[in-house]
Amino acid sequence: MNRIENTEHDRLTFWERLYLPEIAKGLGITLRQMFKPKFTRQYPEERWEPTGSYRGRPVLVLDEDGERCVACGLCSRVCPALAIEVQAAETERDKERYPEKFEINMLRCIYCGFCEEVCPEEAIVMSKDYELVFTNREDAILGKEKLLVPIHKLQDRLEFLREYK
Amino acid sequence: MPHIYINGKLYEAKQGQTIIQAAFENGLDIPHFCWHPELSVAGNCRMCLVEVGMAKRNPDGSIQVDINNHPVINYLPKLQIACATEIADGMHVRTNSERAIKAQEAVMEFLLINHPLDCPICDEAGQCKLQEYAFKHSRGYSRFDEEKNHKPKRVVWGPNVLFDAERCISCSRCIRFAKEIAKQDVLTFVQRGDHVTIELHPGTQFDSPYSMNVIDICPVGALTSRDFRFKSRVWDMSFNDSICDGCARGCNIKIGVRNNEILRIEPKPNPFVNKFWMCDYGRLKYRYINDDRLSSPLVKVGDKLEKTNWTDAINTAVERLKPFEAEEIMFIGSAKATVESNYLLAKFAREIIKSKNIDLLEHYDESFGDDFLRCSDKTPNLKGARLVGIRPEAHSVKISHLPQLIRDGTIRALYVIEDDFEDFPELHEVLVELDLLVTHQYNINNPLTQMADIVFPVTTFAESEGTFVNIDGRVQHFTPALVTRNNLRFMGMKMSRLDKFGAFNDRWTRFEFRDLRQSWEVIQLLANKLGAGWNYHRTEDVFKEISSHLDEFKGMTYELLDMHLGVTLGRANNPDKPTRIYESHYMKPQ
Repeated sequence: MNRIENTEHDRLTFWERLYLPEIAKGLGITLRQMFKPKFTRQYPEERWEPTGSYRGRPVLVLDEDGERCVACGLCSRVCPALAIEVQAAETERDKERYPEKFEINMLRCIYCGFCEEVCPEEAIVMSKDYELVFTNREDAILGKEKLLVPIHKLQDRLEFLREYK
Repeated sequence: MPHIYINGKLYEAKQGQTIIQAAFENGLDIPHFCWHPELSVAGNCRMCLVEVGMAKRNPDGSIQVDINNHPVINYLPKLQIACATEIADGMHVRTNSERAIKAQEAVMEFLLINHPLDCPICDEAGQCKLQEYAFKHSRGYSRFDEEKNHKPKRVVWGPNVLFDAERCISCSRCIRFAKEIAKQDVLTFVQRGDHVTIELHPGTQFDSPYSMNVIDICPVGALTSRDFRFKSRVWDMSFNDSICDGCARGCNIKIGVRNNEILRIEPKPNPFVNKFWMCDYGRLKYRYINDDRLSSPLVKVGDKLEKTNWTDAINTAVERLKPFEAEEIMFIGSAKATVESNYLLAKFAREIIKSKNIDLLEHYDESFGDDFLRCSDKTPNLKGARLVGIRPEAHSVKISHLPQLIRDGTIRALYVIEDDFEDFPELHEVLVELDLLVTHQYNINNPLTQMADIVFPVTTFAESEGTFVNIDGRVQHFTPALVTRNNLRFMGMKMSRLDKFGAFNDRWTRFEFRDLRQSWEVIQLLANKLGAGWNYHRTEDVFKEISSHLDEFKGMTYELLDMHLGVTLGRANNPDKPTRIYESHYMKPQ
């Protein structure tokens, strides 16, 4: 026997099959929503502030005594997308090296956060910055001047890392 | 021949060998820091501790066996160091027993107590023996809570070597190298216990011509190169094998490249040529390959050299060469160029132009040579160039007569490949009197480039495939380490991670892409323009012709040369047999 089971006809009750009462029910829901509070965010005017766990644009930490990065190149090595390029040079400071050049290609970055995880100096962290728009490819390669962010702006993320990393 | 048992397996050994040597020759590695096959045995790192014992014997001399019919072995109560314990027939050695492993872990723990663990800022990271052993033979955590010892950092030992005392594990390899190989006994241990450090004798510096070898043999990052310091991480570089062009010794080298730029040169062990060493001059000579390079052919228009393409340059050269009589053209080969390039130049001169005037310049510097590796002949291929025909015949022009003949007007055109006249001022002066000067060059600011009428940009040894014949007549094959527009798809070239996965729009891939050719390719283009109909596709084709024409090269192929680390002239049927080559610590392939 080729009987087809569970057709629409079987599923619907008699009142549902009548159609019109269901239309009225739907309209009732719509009417009720009109008087409830709204959740839509007026985006460009009204921005969203992510929490510390958010992985936005990776940035370099600028400590009280200068940048933390020692240009070890581990972030560059671990980056699965080859987004990071580091060139080290020598300084007079205790930690003998610093990044002469530190570039992140934001077109390559996939926001995985491996760089942050591997960093032995907690010098590169994921920020809350999510508005990343570029008008050409060259602009998407961020140099040190754009990557260095004062530490007080990154407190949320650093606390998150200390707790969960 | 004595036999020893290592971890229960029987191995052959030679009388007088130490355990570590016998194990090494049989393909086993016993962990060690201070032992090095070319240096004396110091036995102070204690990393190679192994269990050593002999089979127990019955009163009648037969070997005692247990119920499973295994010999009963009396192991010595204390562990022995494998690098200083001589083998004896029937000796039993255990390198992977619980006691041996515990001892190795304990030694690693002691070494790491005062090691700063500053791998992120250390140049050795990625090719560090201590790092490697910390993975293989260590517990992976530290029980040491106190303050680590602080010692001097950035101590300048000499013009090329920098010392970081905190990272030093006191293996004394550098001290022994300075004393035994470099013959400059200026290093010594001072202080005792965990304050021990290495110092120079007061008022001296470690400036031996071979000083930079201590950087290679140092198992940690205590000794670093002042030239390479912080230039790149090793895992971002590619290392291709080549031959040093500094002198006629032909030391085997590895060329460290990142973004198509040579960052450092290090020796590649070859027991028949340079063992594990090379001189600082050869290591630091690479700058002319990176900077100031020609990237396209130049032709003189009026007083200025103008860039042009290869077809135009070849056509111009042929047109300009045609009006001269064969006897008016002089060809100057080069002891800096490969055997193949010199062979084709000689063939071009003798068969196509039909000129007998062919010779080369010899660059001798008596003050450069010594009794170890450096030779006073400062070119890599003098012997090879002479052999393949770059030599004057009975009635032809010799290089010594050349200035006079140019002044007379007997020689009116000069064709020079890969050489310059800086060591020959009398020759340089008369060049203005020539009607035509064609040259193959590497650099823009070379005086010969500036004087020439037609300049062909050619590859240096780092971009070429070819062979050099060293001072002992050893033919050695090398392949490119840098890319040019023409060797871009060279088979077998090792590439770094950045090379492999970089896209056209990545900044690091935007290096200068030079339009260079090997000298023999240029000569082939010229010859074919003159109707020679040569058909060499690869350097190997030229070499095949050489090996079938010349007795000294008979039977040689690139494969044979690579397999035997070079073959001495005339010995293709009986080449040296390389045994296992020791590598202390090295960058692992990506």
